Amino acid sequence: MYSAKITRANPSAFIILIDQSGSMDESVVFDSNTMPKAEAVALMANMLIGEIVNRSRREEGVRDYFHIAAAGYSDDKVYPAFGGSQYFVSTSQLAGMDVRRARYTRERALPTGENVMMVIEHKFWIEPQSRSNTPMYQALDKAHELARKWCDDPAHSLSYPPIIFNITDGEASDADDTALMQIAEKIKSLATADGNALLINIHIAADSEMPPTLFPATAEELGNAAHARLLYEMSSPMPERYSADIVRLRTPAGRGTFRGMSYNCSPADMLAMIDIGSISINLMQ
Amino acid sequence: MKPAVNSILEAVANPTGRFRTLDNLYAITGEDGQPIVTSSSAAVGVRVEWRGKEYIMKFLDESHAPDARRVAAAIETMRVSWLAPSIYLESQVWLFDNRGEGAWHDIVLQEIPPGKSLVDYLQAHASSGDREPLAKLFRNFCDMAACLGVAGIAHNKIRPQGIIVCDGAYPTLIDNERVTVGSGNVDADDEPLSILAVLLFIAACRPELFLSLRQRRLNQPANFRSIIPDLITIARETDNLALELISEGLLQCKTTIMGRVGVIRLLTLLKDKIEPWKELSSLLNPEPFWEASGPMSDTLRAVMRSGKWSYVDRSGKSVFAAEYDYADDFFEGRAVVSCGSDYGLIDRKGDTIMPIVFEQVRWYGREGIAIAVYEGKYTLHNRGGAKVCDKEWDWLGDPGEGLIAAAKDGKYGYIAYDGSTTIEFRFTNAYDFRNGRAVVELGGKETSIDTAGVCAAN
Repeated sequence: MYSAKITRANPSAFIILIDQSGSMDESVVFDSNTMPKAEAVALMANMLIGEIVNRSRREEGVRDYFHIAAAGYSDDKVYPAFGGSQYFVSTSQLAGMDVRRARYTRERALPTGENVMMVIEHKFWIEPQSRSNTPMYQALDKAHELARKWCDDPAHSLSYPPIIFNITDGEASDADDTALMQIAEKIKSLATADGNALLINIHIAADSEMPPTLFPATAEELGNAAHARLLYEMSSPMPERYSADIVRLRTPAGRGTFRGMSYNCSPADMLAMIDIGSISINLMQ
Repeated sequence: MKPAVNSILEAVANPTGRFRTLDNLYAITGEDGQPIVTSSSAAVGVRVEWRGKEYIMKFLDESHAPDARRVAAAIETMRVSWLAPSIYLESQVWLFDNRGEGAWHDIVLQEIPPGKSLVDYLQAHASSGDREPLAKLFRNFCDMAACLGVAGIAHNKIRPQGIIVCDGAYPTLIDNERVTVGSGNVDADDEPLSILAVLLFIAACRPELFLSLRQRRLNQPANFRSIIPDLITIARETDNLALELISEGLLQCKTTIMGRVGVIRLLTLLKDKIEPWKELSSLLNPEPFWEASGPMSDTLRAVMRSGKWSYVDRSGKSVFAAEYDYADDFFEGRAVVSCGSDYGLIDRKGDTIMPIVFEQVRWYGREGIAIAVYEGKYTLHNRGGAKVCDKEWDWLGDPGEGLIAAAKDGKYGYIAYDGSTTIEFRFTNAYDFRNGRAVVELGGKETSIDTAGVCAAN
């Protein structure tokens, strides 16, 4: 399980849900850059997409090893985040899109001990947005619909199962905990022959007294925060394949089955979460 | 695991203080102004210029690093001119991970020899019908195979994209991260090497045939097998024992059993047999190229010519005459086809299993059932096309775990594959079963049931 080689004949899928509600307008600091949370989230999602596109690049062109869907959610609706009307886009389509590029400076410590500012350019397939409510149930329902159709396609029956990232900073405005749990269970029950779909909930914070929790091994790690415990229950237990990287990330590492979630994480933590959640990229042939 | 491409690109774009010994290094950019990146399962490569020469800077998967170090040293020691020169540089570049922590990484700096890619070289000379450069390339390729074999070098994934043809039609291998040296598996690449050699031989003898094979994608290793019987016929009719033996070896997967010594011996014999063939085989009379095609499935491929779909076998020959407006891939001996807005089901001979009259047909090969819609009513059929029962439904879901969600008169329930009701129609909505459970709506609330129809306890 969770070991299928990712090839053009057996591609895999990522579904990225991005909370674009009004609270995503708050500022966070990522390295030395202060930016709205919406921009930080878009940057991380775009870095993941850039990594997938570049890893799929062969001498003869970009191969379709992955199908990537992105959905934004705000106001009272869910919408394709790549623009247009399509949620799922192939890797080669993404490579062919003419998208905005933005430069960021990052402070780096060189091996000489010298600190320097470096300029890094990133492509923006997904643009940041922030407005109004958080229709998370609708977003998860859309993810279920997309993942179900993807898993039902006989061409994907042997594929590495889809990974669903839900990146949010708040609580759902369109459903209660029971409804959220039910839709999460429906997503987690989808499967290919290689395993069940993985739902990873990433909760980010602008500023919090509470320290971040990444890939908790028990619900107790989250204290009494009800929303954190809900996200814990909603999130997938991470398969063994991911454990070594999770242990490297966590201090102290803890024991047990890690859940695919974070609470109160910073942009840097979010990047690490996405990095681990997408290690299936290394199964690309 | 390979380092992230994002961190590699950052280092190449900001080289100052990041490289131990590679001073004045520049990334070569493509037409879009971006660095040229290529990846494989073994490495991520970035094109760079250093001291006036072009290189691919390769960042290897950790598991390949020890082999790569050994290979680079062996290539340098042995001076094998068939492999692009490469240098293994330990702890050369300082890369940051996604948490901002830096660490030294090894790289392989591999020269890109001046020349044309094998793909472009073959296309250019085969298109112009210029056989001499192709014959020269084939002879040099045979020499290369012999030299690498004697040196105990196996390339493992030898392929046209990994070969540069240099001045004098000398092939040079550039994907050195695939190479293994002296580890006792020198025969590991005999099959891809033999396939490529036979294709180069075909190009040298009949350039137009090579182009036709390429157009029909029969030059690809996965499809090449389908033309081997024709090659054996050609070999027998042209009295070419070397081609016959190597083709039979490939047909029976005996190239590795034959061993490199055997392959080299046959290729040496084949070098003296480069001459145009007469019109001998159906291989030489290819069918026209198709405009669109599906994957090979159940040994057949759906293809579109002049806007109409039909099916061809592995060699590209039509398997039956019928044409459709839409043709799905075959699965378990059946495929859904349509003419206009009407759908039906056919078998691999093209015989009609379900007439092309339905508004929709869905075929489930694993379960051996088809679901059809006629005048808005859903019916259930077996693989012979016959209705499994006389019942009709207002909607049917996808089969799974022995059950199908169904709707009748505004209520939802579940039926077995023989059409009998197994869970009564009492729900306001119902989804397919997964892992023994299905989500249903009852009394305005969603809940889940097991395969006996028992609701989950709240």
